[in-house]
Amino acid sequence: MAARQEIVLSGARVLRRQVDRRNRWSDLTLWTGVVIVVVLVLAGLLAGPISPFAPNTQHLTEAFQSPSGTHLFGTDAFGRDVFSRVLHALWVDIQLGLVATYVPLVLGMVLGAVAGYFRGWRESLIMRLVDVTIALPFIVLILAIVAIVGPGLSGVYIGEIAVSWALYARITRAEMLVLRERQFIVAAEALGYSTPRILFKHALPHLVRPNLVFSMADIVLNILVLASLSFLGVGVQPPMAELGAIVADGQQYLLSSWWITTLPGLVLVILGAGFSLIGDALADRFGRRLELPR
Amino acid sequence: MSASLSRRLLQSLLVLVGVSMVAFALIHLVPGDPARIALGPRAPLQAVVAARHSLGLDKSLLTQYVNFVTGALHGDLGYSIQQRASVGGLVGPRILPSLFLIAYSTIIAVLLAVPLGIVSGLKRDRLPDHAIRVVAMITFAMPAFWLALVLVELLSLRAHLLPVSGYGGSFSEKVEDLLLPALTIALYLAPMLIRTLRSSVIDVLDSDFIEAARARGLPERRVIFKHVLRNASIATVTVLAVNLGFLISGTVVIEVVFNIPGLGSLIVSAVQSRDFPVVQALTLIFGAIVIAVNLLADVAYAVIDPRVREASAR
Repeated sequence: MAARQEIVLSGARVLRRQVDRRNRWSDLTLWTGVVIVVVLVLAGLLAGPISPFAPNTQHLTEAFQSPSGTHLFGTDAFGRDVFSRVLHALWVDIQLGLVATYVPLVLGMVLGAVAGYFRGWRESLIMRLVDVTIALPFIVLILAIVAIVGPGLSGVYIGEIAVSWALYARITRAEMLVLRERQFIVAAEALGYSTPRILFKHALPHLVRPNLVFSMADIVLNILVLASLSFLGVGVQPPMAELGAIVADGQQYLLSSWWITTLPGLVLVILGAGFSLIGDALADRFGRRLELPR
Repeated sequence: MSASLSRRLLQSLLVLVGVSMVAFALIHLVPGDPARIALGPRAPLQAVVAARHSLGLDKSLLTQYVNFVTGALHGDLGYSIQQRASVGGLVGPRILPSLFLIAYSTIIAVLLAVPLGIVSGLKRDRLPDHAIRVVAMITFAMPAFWLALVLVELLSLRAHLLPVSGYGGSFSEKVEDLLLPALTIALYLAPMLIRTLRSSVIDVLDSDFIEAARARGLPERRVIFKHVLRNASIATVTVLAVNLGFLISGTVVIEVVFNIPGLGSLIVSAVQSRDFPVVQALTLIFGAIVIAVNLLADVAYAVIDPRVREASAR
């Protein structure tokens, strides 16, 4: 009897250790991510007062200076201070990341909840729309929309919002299909509550978590799409500073002036890693996944 | 052909029709006159009218859509005003380089990601898992175009190990020229694959049949090779299919960086010059590729996985 108890206890201890280990790790990743994101957001918001030089002022005599005390990230072909341009670019990228993620999140959640709750023709209509959106590689659809609207930041906003909602709708519908059979929803229906009340007040809070976890990976993707489009010349237009556009500025001078491409790209990586770390920790905690939903 | 597969086929066709509608609608969503925008503000009125006629914009919407679809089915993808050439003629020679690059990078990505994903799942919450996850997280945050430039700088310009760009004639030249672009795309895709494989390995390890296998006293090595890895192979097929759109998105950007004459660099230049018929055609083609591959993956899935096979036989 005592031996058996000992076995059960040691099993519990092993489990406990596993959980502790996972929690310690997810605490570490979460807080590292939060610190990175907060620092970069503040740097972006305070770019005006804290940047040492004006981002677009050209000093042709000071072109191609390597990183130094005065020019932390060196200067580009026009003698502009790369560090000041990076600071000014940060908020352009982060703002798009947030707007192009959370507007579609709300849109996709509402559509997905409607599809999963009502089923029938509403579900067919919404989910076929999702299928069509997901069938197109996101960059192709966004490029097509930019071709319509014309190159520039607003085209990227419209394109990304038009594409991103679909995955949230898919995640939410799948959750809703399970949720609508749960007793508290059935009880709310039996009490005769109105459908909007059931959907928004009772169901929605349960649908937020998986979407929130995925949104962290989505912010990274959306920022990278903006950077890619600017790099290709159809996103942010010069002389506006944007991280991908700054990398593109240095592309020609890769061998002689490595800092113009390398350092702004590194900032982009750190920013993305910050959001990814938060997402990974949330995924661990909520037992959800970060990968693309099927 | 089982019932579930034919239903899946029908669904794919429906999505394809939807994609064709989106591609068709693009040109009609352009604010203002697409012919005028394509030709620029200084083009003579006659040229604009001619372009409108060549784009078919002077016909009714329904006629235009029917013409668009029947044309596409016959391999006629329209006429590019900017390039003064049939879109089919522009697209044709660019299909092979893109497919070659996609296949090449998929192979590298699978070779990288499958072992790492499996190790990460098997060593869950231990050092190898943490290390793999952190590296994957950082790689996921890397812009593909930037990674490409850094690799070019280090491996080509400084170390002179690999060619900077190009697209060779023979197969072996292609393999060499495309190694750097394929490697970049593989590194961009790998984190997605690793992440999904890791969760699928964990799911399998947590499942009842693994516990049953262990309870029967099977050696751990056998449990892992026979049960865990077989299930991971099924997951790999699904993961590749789900992430195909993601993979193609990376290819589009990388083709431009390395100057590869593929479909991706064609769509980017078409967007830059606002060459609408080319954008429409490529939207349709990329959509069709993704739909076809996903359908194939479902068939492959049914072949590999006995549960799916039996479910569809029932």
